[in-house]
Amino acid sequence: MRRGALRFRPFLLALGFAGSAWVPAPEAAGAVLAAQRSPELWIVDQGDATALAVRRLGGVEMVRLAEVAGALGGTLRPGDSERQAVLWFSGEPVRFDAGRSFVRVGDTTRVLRNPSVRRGGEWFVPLDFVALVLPDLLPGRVRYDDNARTLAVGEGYPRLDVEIASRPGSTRVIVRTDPPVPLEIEEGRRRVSILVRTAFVETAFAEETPRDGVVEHVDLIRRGTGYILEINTGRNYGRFLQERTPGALTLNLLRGGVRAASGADVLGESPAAEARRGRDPVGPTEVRTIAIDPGHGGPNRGAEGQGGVAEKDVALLVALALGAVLEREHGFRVVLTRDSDRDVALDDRIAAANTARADVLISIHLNASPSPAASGSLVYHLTPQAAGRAPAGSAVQFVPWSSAQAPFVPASRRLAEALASELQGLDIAAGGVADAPVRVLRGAAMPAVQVELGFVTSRRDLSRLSDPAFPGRAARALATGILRYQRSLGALRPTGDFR
Amino acid sequence: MTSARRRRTSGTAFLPAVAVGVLAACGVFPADESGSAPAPGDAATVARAGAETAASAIQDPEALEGARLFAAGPDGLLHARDVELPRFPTTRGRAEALVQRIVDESGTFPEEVQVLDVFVSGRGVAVINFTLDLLEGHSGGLHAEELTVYSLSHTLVESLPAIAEVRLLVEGRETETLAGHLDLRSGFGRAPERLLADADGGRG
Repeated sequence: MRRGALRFRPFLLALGFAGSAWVPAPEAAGAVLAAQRSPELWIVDQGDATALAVRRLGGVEMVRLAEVAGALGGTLRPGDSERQAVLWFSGEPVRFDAGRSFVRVGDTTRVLRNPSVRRGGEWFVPLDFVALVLPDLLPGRVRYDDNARTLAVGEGYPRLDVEIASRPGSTRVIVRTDPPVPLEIEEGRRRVSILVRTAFVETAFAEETPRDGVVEHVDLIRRGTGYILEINTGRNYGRFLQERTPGALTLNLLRGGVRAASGADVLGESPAAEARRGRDPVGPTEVRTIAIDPGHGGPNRGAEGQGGVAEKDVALLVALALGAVLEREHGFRVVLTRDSDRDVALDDRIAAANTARADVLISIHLNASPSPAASGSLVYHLTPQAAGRAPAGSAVQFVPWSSAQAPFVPASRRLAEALASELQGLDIAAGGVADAPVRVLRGAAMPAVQVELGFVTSRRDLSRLSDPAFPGRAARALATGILRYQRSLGALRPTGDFR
Repeated sequence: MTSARRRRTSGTAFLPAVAVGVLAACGVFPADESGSAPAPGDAATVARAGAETAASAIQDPEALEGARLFAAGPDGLLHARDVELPRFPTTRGRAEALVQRIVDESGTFPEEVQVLDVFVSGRGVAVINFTLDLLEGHSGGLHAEELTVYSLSHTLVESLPAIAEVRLLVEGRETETLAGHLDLRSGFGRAPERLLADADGGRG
């Protein structure tokens, strides 16, 4: 319940006794509230949701009594005079008197904030009749959620909890539903919305105002047959990352200027530091978080082809497209080591993937050769020699940075094979899988590959790479490859817990 | 010798000693087979190393010996080619001559790059110190980097039995990559089969 309404409630009741329809300050508060709330009153009965129009009559929000009766299986009949009406449910009759701020339920008088109104042959009652009186008239469990302006009849509705935590680099919003309900994300101007597709939720959450620069205000709003958790972003908001688990959706709303890779709110470790891992050497048994590393950036253009096609630009376009496909279509959490045209140190890229506890790392590059005949895609993983010696035992807590990739070389090879098989679908000759002492893969504490999408020095490859449609096609091929790798994990026998 | 080269030489005379220091810290102790071990920061050692190279060249200026040089072909693979080099009594001398031929003829090195020094340790590790042009002039691309590095290491390992591993320095320092892809902090030996035009890698 909003604080403004609570403050004015005694005043409203006093005015209601006087039968007056004039509500100065409370009406102002009500007007503010109404602007934010749904223009409808919802009645949900065992999953069936009915919307009743809310009208303003004399400055008071009201609903048609006949619609209330129809939605709940009641009967509305004329009273002893045209200024009286009787509403029947399964119990005692409810009698209304036009212009009176009370109703009679059998021999009991129930006071309303505002009077019932008869206009144009129709009866209208104030909303507090639905909130305060109706729940006592209907059989079974009935409750009214004033924030969502919803009257719910029956049991078995999902519970929704919202947890908000402000951190130095981000604000975390966790939405939990039990049992799980579909949650969809929409982003608009200065807002990120989570659509909750269920007719009614049991919840104690109405709104919260973090006002931490990233998130200004969070509101749970009824919208149609569902709800929207509307996150109003602040002036320091950059972008968000999502993570899904059964029954929960976590949004990390990042502070602008914070590298996307630091969405886990922990600074990447320096190359000299030791990476702490608690993973089984086989690798994770599922893929939930994917780190994508577009190679080069900023003044570091990478390889260049004729016409100024730069490795850094194509790599970024493919990475952004791949991230979008993975997040929006497959619900993965995606971490990008860069999402703009800037260079990032090689170890910082790895640190970002490690810090985010990514389940796989995919570094995206274009190839080049002094020989124009060299062409085709190739997916690299680290050679065992370059990876170093894998630590003994499965419950590894600390590993040297330079050996972090060692336990994951076999999984990296499987990931490379899965990606390479899908790159065959692109109109660039697929070279398959290779291993090499690739710099950016050392130190990665997860299956990691470097994808060379084609040669900028090959005329044929370059014509494909510079096609505006190429990033999207490559992204879909790589996404399919990741899914293929993910499916292959089901065939593995895990040897320990990973998280 | 051009004035630019003279300036470069005088300005980098100390770099081999720095390189020795770096490699000593890495557990690699370059020592010429003649038994003289350059010590870090020892300018006299640098001069002696240079003198040994010159002396070994003077010792047998007419004799030639064969070697196999692996150069990039039009197909993007390394092709073996037989070459002749002046015969040197030391592995270091032979390595130095072969490295210069690779840089000049393999087609995988930037045009401006120069070889500052070559050292060979008793453990068979050849360390080649290049000028910064190796990085600044490289065209980039993982495949191009592989050709550069493996044309060098495969040639040396195949032609000089005393050399088992090749490491690269740039201006006396370890460098992470040539152009952002291949990790140069590792040693290199034979090239992967996929880079070799000849399936047996040149072994007849």
